[in-house]
Amino acid sequence: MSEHIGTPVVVEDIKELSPFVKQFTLKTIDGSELPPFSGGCHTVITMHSDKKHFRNAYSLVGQTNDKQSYIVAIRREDEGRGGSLFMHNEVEIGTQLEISAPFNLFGLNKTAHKHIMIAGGIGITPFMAYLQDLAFLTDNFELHYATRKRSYGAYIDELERRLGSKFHLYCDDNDTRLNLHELLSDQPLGTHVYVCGPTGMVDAVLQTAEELGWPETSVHYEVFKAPDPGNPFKVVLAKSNKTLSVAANETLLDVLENNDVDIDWSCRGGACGLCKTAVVEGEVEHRDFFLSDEEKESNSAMMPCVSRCKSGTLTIDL
Amino acid sequence: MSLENGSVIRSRPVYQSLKFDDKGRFNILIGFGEGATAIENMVKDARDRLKIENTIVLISGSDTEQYDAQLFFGEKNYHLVDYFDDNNSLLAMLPGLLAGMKMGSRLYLAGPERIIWQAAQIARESGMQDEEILLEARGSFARRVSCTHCATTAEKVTTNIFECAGCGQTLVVYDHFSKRLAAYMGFRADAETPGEFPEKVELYR
Repeated sequence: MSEHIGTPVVVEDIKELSPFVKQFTLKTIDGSELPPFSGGCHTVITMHSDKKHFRNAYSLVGQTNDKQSYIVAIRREDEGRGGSLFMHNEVEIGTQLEISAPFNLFGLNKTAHKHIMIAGGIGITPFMAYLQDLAFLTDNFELHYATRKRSYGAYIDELERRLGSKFHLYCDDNDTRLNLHELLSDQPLGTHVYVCGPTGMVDAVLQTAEELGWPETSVHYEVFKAPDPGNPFKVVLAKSNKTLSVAANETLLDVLENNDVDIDWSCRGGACGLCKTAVVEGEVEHRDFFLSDEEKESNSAMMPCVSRCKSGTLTIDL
Repeated sequence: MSLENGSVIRSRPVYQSLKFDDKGRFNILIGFGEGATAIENMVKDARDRLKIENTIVLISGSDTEQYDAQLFFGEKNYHLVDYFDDNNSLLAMLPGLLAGMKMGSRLYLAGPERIIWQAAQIARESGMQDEEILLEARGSFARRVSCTHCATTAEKVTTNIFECAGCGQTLVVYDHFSKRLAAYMGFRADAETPGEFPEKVELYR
């Protein structure tokens, strides 16, 4: 997978932003330059443990023109596949990791007249870079941040200081709730809404916007969460004549990579389409946002980064 | 000059009868001249679904008296229809109207092609997206043409070639349509062989 040999980086700094969130500053080892990025960009971090490697996508939160280092903020997911736990428990200052080139599936619409950003929990991260893009574009934006407790959120003090009345915080401490209907029912023409957070919040924004007549092109979202676990299954590789097992808390893509199967990937969240793989036999449990409904029904292709198998055994064209 | 080898210019607009979009919370219906009939037809079709209190109707043209407001909403609501003497005065008030509109609005435009696209251009500048603007061409198909050499816009071009008022060159009217400029593109008619022009014929009425 020559195209995915990442840039080696070293952890230069670690900050605790909340009981669940740590911020990592990653610096290139050989002093080479990192590309500038745009608001909403990810990088995929490759972590090497003794047994296997983990790959997770994280939003870049640092300065978009910082060529020496990238900054990510990572929430600890105790029930996850292990990548965030590895970052929280095993990674120290000086640990070496690899990062992919930045890529963006959640960029700012630069023709919008007004921007409304809605963040839930760790979903605040893409907006940290958005704010830098907006500084060159317009003053006409609002950031709405919902977090259970103020102390669980990230960057709140900084956002209050920088944004003043453009920043709206909803949490138990100030006893406020985000009223999506109220927020989205009274916006001028040309407004775009961006939501990043847990599935429930993203769904609520999409549904409310649709009910209020917002066109799909004005609503942008990113679900901030690792692929859900599912039933374990077996996968038969038709070309290489191998059979592998995917455990409940693993993804098919992880298993393929850990068995040195050559497969392209980028977002690892079912959105970009790069890992699309032809299916020979078996019923796919589709969980991606990339394939059309027709493609999903035809059962002819799947996205191994998130999708699984309903029928116990899946034969794929690899 | 005709299009060779059956090539299709994808930017050339294709129209269907206006269909009411139930997803819109607020509706602005605009009929320019003959377009009023298209608006009227749509309202008749959608009578049960269209909320009168969330709807504005604007009609322009000298023969608009025939489009009695009662045709749209019955006697009680005739005041909801605004009449304009000509297309330009209607276009002129559109930015102000749209500035007060909310997300969730739909703009329905019916009338001569070169007019509805000017209205759509204003709507786009007001922040509306293509999904929120619905168009049906009615009446004249005379073209609004932008000169690709000097950017002068000609109104009501009906022939395949014409002389640009800006740079004086003879332009061929091409099927490529710019939504941003609300105009078809015109370029030098003898660009391939200087001095050689196609016969002038009326194509766009």
